[in-house]
Amino acid sequence: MNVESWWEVAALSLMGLGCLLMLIAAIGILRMPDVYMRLHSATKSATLGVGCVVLGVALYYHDPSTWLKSLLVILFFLLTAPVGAHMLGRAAHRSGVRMARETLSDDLAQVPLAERRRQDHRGAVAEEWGTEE
Amino acid sequence: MQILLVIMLCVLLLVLGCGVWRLALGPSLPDRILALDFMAYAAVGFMAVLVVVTDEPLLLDVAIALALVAFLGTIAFAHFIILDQREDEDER
Repeated sequence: MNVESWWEVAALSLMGLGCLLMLIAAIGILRMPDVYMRLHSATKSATLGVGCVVLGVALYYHDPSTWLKSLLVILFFLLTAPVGAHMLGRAAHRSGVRMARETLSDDLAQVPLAERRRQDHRGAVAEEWGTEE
Repeated sequence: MQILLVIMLCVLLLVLGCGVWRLALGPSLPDRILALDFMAYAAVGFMAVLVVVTDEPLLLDVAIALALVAFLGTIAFAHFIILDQREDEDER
């Protein structure tokens, strides 16, 4: 194995670390007992894993356009992953997906239905135009 | 170094396989959407490794587009779940 410079070593180790994190996320997706825990595993460690891999690619190529694109990918994932996971968890809770038996507390269950509907997007629009209730 | 890259590709394929397994298994609809989202992540990682393997930096653009489409798909699916739920509540 011959590598030319230190940044190739750094790039390869970063990519390996990213792949390992993706593997951990996959194990979490398979083994977690609950949608919500699976969301936790899939979003956080997968974001970190993809970020590490893409950063490794940028370090490997070491030229401005690849750096720009890689940073764009990482920024995009950091922006969108929490939003997507939040939407999905909210939809799961609203459609009544059961939690695991080990779950200790569910704060959202104590909010009454009318309050939840008022916070909902369509409810908000309807209230503004005076078409509901 | 080639061997390391091939091992990485194999690991990412395994990750994609785990996503497919959860997609087939997932007891609820959000589970399946989550699996699709996760598979898109794994595909983006796969593309990034493929950039180094094939020495073709243009593949990063494909990765960007894939990430965008996956995000929009997840948001749309979650939105439709919530809309469905509202209609059920209205009928009751």
